[in-house]
Amino acid sequence: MKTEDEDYTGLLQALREDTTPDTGGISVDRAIQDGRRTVRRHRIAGGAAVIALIAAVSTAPLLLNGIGNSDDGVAVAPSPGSVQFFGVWSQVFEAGSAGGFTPYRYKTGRYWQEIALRPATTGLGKEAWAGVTMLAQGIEPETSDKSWAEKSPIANIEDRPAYLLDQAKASVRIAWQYAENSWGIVTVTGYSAAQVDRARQIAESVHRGAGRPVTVPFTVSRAAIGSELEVTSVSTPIGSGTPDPTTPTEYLLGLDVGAGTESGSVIESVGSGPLPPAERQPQLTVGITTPPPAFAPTTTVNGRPAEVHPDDNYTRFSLTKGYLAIAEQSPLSSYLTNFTAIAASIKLAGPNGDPVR
Amino acid sequence: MRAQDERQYVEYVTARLPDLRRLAGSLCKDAHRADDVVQNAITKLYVHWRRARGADNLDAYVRTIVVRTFLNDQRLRWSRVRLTDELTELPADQPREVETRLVIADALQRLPPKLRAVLVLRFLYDLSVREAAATLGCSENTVKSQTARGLAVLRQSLGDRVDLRPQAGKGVAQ
Repeated sequence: MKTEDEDYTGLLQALREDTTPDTGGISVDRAIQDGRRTVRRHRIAGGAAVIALIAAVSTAPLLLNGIGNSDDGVAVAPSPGSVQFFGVWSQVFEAGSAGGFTPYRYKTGRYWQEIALRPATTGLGKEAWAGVTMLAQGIEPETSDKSWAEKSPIANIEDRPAYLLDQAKASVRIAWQYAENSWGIVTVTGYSAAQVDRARQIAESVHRGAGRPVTVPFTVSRAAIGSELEVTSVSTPIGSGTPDPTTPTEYLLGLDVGAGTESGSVIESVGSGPLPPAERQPQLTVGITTPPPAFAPTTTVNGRPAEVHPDDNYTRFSLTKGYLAIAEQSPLSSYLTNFTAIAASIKLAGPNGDPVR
Repeated sequence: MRAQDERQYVEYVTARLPDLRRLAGSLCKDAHRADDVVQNAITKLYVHWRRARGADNLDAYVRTIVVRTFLNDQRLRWSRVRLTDELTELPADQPREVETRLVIADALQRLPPKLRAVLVLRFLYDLSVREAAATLGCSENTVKSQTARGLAVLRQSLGDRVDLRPQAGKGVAQ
């Protein structure tokens, strides 16, 4: 190694931490529960007859919830009627610029919807970001997570109860009841001394809208994806868009195995405590991004440069007009194998109707 | 998974959790993200526990899961924290070594994820080029070139903000 590099070796070793890190935010029990569910999915996916049955009948959620041992510890989804589901194709909430942040991305979902915010000014310090997670009515964060169990009341927001979930050096999270039996969570990162106030201001800026329809400017082949997966989330840019020219503008669809499995994972996820956006990945994510990030083509797809990584479960390939197509499976899953075919079927198209066709 | 296997999994993960969290903390920009990476990694480990347990080096196997989980996470932009050119806001009256550490950590976090992972594995975890290549799933030449590129970017980012006096006896394995 060059002598000059050795200087940096010593320098970087200054970052070594002798103290024991806080592992309170990690749950071995949750890993076991999620792992068991993944193993069951593999078994289900491996049985062609079961798959055919699931695809053929509308009772798939009941079948999926019924498979597995009684001691699996998988949370039971709430009974129909106790949760007022959001529409996957509807942006239910609006958020304004507040607390120094402005919305730039929205992610729909049946059980929760998320808003990502970026700094609106330059004074918030490095890498500041904020996220809002709005849980559907009837879903309450359970008390199994330490941060929720130890929540501290703070001043009401819009005359409704609000709690400080945690306040670490790099972030703060608050939860507030935005309607009867309905909870929202705001996460703000950064080193600002006024994090809680900023989070409160962001919460106050969120209101229920008229249910704006969401669309994506591409289509993807249903035949390539298969019949088992349904769209469970749609992520699109909103407001004035991405933080800067180097941050891509993306349209992403999350697809999962039927509403029953989705409810199991989402409810369990919520049950382990309020979580910031992007905690969990769906079985499959497909979408487009522009400008295309730098990538290393390994082959060609449809005559265009493509990067295929079967071991890491993703395929990206270059579309025309400066877009990159993405098909990626959850790192926790090996449900699908045909990412290249899925990515190859993505086509730019006007925002018109169901993009999975 | 059989009960005995699961007990072994729990014992192993519980004992290794601080180390895994420390590694994720070196790679990620904030504590929540580091928790997520470890949470996903130990879930993946559960799914593949039988195969993992039979690996020649279980610790290296698990480290690979953590690093690749981190890199996978970075591809989905929803979870990406943007990079800026602003300097870290340092609290006043920090001891010099603490300040230096913060500046270095900040510079490291500004690197693209893959370059950051290479430098963390090479210089914080003393992995050889071959070991780092195996962990990242790339060639040794890629590790070498990305090490050089990462250091160049780090050098440019740090500029004269820290004292770059050589630290004797701190070489790493080739």
